[in-house]
Amino acid sequence: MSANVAAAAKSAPASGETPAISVKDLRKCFGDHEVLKGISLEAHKGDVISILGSSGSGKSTMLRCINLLETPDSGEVRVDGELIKMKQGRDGHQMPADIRQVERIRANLAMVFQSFNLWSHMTVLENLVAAPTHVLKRPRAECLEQAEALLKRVGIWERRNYYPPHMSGGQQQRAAIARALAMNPKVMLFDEPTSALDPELVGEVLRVMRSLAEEGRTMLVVTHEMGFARDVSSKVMFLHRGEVDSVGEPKEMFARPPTPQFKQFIANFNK
Amino acid sequence: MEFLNDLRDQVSTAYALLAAGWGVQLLWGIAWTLAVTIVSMLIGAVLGSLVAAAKLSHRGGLRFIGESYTTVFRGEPELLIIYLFYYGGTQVLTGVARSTGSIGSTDILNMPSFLGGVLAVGIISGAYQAEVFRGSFLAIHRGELEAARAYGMSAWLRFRLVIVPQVLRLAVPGLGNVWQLTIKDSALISVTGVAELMLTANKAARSTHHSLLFYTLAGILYLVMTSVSTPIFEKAERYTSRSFMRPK
Repeated sequence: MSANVAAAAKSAPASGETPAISVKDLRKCFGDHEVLKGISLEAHKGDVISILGSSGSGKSTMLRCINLLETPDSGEVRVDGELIKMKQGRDGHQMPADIRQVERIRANLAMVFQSFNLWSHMTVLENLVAAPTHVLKRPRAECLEQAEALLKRVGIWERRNYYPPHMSGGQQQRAAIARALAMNPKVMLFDEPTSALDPELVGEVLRVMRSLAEEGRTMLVVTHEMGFARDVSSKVMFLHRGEVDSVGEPKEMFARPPTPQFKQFIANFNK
Repeated sequence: MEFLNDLRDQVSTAYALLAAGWGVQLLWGIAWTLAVTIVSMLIGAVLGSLVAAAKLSHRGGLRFIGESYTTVFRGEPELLIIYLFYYGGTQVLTGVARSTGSIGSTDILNMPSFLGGVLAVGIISGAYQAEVFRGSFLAIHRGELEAARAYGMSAWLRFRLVIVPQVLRLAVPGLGNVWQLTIKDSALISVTGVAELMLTANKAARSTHHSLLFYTLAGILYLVMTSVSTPIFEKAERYTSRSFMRPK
C-alpha cells in the first residue's frame, strides 16, 4: 500500500492532490480500427467532466476502459493514485494482471449505463443491496436502510418492491443511479445515461444528476446533453476520431469553440 | 345389450385382477418410474450444466468435448445407450472384480440395475438439458452481466447472483419438455429389470394374458404423470418469471 502511495505522490500535480482518476495515453483497437489513439485525462475530486463527441469518437470506449469493461491495448489508468496493473496475455494483448485488484477498483467506480442494466430478476431494493452486501460485505440491515434513503432521494421509494421491467425508463435509470450511489463510489461513470430515454423522461434523470454534481460528487459523464455539459459540468472534453480535440471550461468552450471540429459539433446540435 | 354385458364382464375382471395384487404392483411401478425420472433429471442437471459450460467455453478443447457429448447422446437410440451402460457396465465391473480377485474367475458382477438405468437415462437427459441451459444463458441480457462486472462482482458472485437465477427462469419451459422426455425414457430401463411401470405392466400382461387391459392402463398412467407435470411446470414458470409479468 505504501508503495502505491509513493507512486501516487510522484504523479500528483503541483497542487499535491492525487487525482481521483488519471488516464495516460490510452490506446484501443477493435480489429483494424483504432478507436482510441492515445487519450489522457485527469479528474480531481469534485470534478464533473462531460465527455462529448459524435458517435464513433471513442467516448464510450474510453469510459469503459477506465473500469476495464474494455481492456486497453496500452496506456495506464490510475484510480486514486493506484495503477491498474496489466500484463501481456498469451495472445499478445494486454490483460489485467490481478483480477482481484480490478474488482476492488470497479467497486469504487460505480457505472450508470445507457440501457440501465438493472438486474431484472431482482426488485429495485434488491438491486441496490446486492453489490454492497456481497462485494463490499457491508451488513445487510445497514445497506437496506441506505437503499431506502437513496430511493427516496431519487423519488422512486414507492417503487422499491417493483421489478425493473415494470417501471418506466426514467424510473429505471433513477434506480440505476441509486444503485451506483449505494456503493459510496469515489467516482461515478455515466455512459450516455439519457440516450435511451423518451424525451419527456430525460428531465427527471438530469435533475438527479445535477443534484449529484452540486453536492460535489466526482463524475465522468459521456453525454449528448449539451445543456448539462454547459451548465452543470466543471470541465468539457471533446473527443474527435479517437483523440482529445479540446478540453476546457464549459462556458468558455461553448462561447468560443477552440477548434473548428468542436464548432461544427455544437452547430449540428443547435440546428 | 350384449355389448354392455360384455363391458360389464370386462370391468369386473379388471377389478378382480387389480384387487388380486396387480393394482398395488402398478402403484409401486409408478413410484419407481418417478424415482428413476427424478434421479435421472438430477444427474442430467449436473451433467447438462457442465456440458453447457463446456460448449460456451472460450477453449476449443472444452467446446469440442461439449459438442461431442450432445451430438452423441442425442443422436444415438436411447435403448442402445441403456444396453451399453447396463451390459457394458456389467462386463467392465466383472473384469475389474475378477482381475482384483474379489470374485471367482467364472463369477459375474452385475451392474446394479437401478444405477445402470439412471446413469444411462441421466446422461441422455443431460444432453437435452445442456441445450436448454446453453440457450438460456445466451438469452440473458448481456448488459446485466456487464453491470455485475462493473460493480466488482467476482466470477463466482456473478454466477450465483445473476447467471443462475436468470438461467433457471429462462430454462423452466425447456426443462418441462426434458422432464416429459425423461419420463418416457424411463420406460426403456425396464430392460435392465427395474420394476418400474413399464416392466410391471409387461409382467401383468404376460402372466394374466390381459395385454389390452394392462397396456391401456399403463398408457393412461403415463399420460396422467406427464399431464400432471405440465401445470406444475407452468406454475414454476409463473413464479420464476414473476419479474416480467404485470404487477398485481
